[in-house]
Amino acid sequence: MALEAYVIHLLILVGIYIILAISLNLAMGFTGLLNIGHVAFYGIGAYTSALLALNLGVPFWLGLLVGGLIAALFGLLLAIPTLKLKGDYFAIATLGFAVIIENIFRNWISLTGGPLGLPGIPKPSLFGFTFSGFSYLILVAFFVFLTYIIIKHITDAPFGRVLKAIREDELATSSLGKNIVKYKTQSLGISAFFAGIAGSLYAHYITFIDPSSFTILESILIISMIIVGGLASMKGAVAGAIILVLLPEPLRFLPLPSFAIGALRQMIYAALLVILLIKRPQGIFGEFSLKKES
Amino acid sequence: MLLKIKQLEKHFNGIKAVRDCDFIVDENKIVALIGPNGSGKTTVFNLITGLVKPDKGDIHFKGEPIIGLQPYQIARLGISRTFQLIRLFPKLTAMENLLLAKHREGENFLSTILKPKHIKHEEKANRERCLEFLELVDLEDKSNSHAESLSYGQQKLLEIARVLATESDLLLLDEPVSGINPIMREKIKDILIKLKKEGKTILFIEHDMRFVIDIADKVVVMDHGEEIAIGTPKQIQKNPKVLQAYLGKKVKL
Amino acid sequence: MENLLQSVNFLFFLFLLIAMVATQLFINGIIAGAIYALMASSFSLIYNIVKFMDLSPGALFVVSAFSAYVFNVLFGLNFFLSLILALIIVSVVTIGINKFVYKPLRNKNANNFILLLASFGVFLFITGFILLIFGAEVKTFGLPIIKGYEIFGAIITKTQIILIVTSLVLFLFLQLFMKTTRLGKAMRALADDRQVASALGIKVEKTIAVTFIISALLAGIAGILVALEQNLEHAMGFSVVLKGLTASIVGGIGNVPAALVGGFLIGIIENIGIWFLPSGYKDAIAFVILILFLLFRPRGLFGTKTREEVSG
Repeated sequence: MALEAYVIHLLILVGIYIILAISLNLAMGFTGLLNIGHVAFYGIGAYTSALLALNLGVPFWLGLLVGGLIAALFGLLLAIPTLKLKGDYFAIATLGFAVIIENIFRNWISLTGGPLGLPGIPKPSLFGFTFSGFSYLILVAFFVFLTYIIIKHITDAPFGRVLKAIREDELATSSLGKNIVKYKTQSLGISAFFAGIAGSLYAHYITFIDPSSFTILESILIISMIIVGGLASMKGAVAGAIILVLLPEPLRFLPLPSFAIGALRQMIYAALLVILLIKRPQGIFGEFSLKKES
Repeated sequence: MLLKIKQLEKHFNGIKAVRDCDFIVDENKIVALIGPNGSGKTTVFNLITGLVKPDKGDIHFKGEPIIGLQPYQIARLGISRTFQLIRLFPKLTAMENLLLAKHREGENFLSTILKPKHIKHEEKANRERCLEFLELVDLEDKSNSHAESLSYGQQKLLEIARVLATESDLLLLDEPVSGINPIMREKIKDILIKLKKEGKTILFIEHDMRFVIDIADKVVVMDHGEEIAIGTPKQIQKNPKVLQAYLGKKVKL
Repeated sequence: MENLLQSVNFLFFLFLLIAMVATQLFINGIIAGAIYALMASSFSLIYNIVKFMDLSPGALFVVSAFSAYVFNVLFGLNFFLSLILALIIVSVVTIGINKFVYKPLRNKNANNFILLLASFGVFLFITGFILLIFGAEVKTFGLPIIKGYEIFGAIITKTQIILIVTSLVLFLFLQLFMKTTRLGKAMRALADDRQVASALGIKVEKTIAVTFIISALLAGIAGILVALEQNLEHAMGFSVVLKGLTASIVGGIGNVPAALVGGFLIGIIENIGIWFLPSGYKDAIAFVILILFLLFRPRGLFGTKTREEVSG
């Protein structure tokens, strides 16, 4: 029994991270936006959905949607001032954004509960049926599927082609009559929307959220997933999420104190990222890696 | 007149890259912009396409001032260009490079979500159209190859095909035949002449004088950022200022 | 020299103004600022010479603090000996990072973002390692709490004074080193134009290695100074290196002397900010400043025009 519950738990986490990886891939892999602050959208979605449910009794389905929309709104807000920054300057700005958001989660105690977080988030229910355990997994799988086909549709469409062109050569793309700012903003907004959805799924699963789930380290983890899988590869994002969520799990069974397991997890993720960047930056399925700007 | 450049001036860090530049490009003509290296020709292109803002002067396209517009807005008005150092999308296929040429309603995000069938339909039609442009430059069998896998000459042709695919009124070509073998050169020459017949206007930068003399209706000569002579190829060939600029010494006629 | 004088002038009047208004906050700001100035110098030195944003000083900060702790508290060695040993360890670690991570990436012509990510990886790996070895409980040097001195109604302890003085002295040494020694001049030449410097016979790799070591030493000393005052825990380097980065950009990222100004500015603004906001927002204040500068003045207060601002 315990084994079954454990496997379901893992798969739910895998599902949530697949959504996070695919959504980041849209902005980073396809459009070339170096967003280190993706975790902020995840957290905004989570807190929005949780607060709506806890304070206003909003049902999960609506909370999820609003969580995604609010996250998307923040994506647009972030985009407007920062998109004119280049490469690593943009990355640092997104990093700053994520830290500011995390600070707000941690300090706006009256709203977010501060470091103690928000406990008792209700599980989703439909016509009296409460989603939990295996049924929650089905729910997550449904959203993973939805996210996958929507983003695949977007990236295969002419819109997606423009995003790829922007990644390849912004100057040439704008000289062909495309409004770069508009596309980048939309890309970031869509990316944020799905991250917000993932956040909501997380909040109503664990039923408790606190700022420690939404730190920069999470962002780095998500980035690692798409680097492992290969930038701009949908399959790669899925593979990367699966691998990175499952990889450190065996550690759990070692007779070590929890801080040690956490430490080893961090070291494994960090080492994997660095080794991959050096040895195989294009990941498993990627056709290319981030190259030196021309 | 399609394009009018007046008193154009631009400096970078105190160096005047372009100054006192005046010329006109009439509709349906092929105009060449020539001059020794560093004379400001590509800067003029950058100024026209909005990549760079001039410090002084006016640029009018189809009678309207275009200074201050964003590059993408200028492109949509009907001006397209190629680049001195080819700027294709390396990881995209030749076909994809061409499909991006024209600004399309299908590239809109909302359309992507709300009108997928319509877009699919349009895509098919666009692909057929773009295939024609590929055929024009004999690259139709490379349609699905990544742009970066093409040879230099093929990339040059692809960039030209792309600018053709924009179906713009004014084409700015930056050294369209540099580094090209003679056969391709002739091909490009034929394409440009054909375009002129179809009502397009072309302004191009070149160092290949043969090519300039062969197809240009008018030649604008620049030196050290200034436009020093304008005339037909025959007139320019005899112009002492032009000879001095290229040969660097006073020439007595 | 001119830049430095400019900076000092600017700082002086600013400080006078603020000091008159809120002395304790000001003092706290100077203390924090001294640390940020060290980290900013550390960060700027590296950026100057290899043109990428490197977060490893944050990890070295932590390594240094914990090493000194081990030698001084666990092994009972003399403080200055512990300091030296800690700095040696930090130097070795930075050489290792360069050899195994940065150099291979630079050889592959990796872009700035990859290097930034890699430096994150390095940072996380090292701090994870520290967590593994030392556990999650905070450590402390357990120095006896001495009554501080009083200046204009504000309290400052001896350790804090040492911290500020050390920071300023180190900074001055760094400036002198950069201006007068051959190695310092080589570092500046390399920062300016690598091709030319190399053509003039400057040994590029060696100079880069030395720069990283100096940078590591600055971060290491900052780490130990902070550890004397505050508790040690494995994640202590993160916020500090990000503020060093912010201070660097505020001062002017190409400009090492300006890192001093940036550092003290951030320290003071941060502390004044928590007059109005809950103290937990300290980090956010620094990053709002970062974002404002990135948007409106990416070259910082004293930097040269960045690639952002040069018209294409």
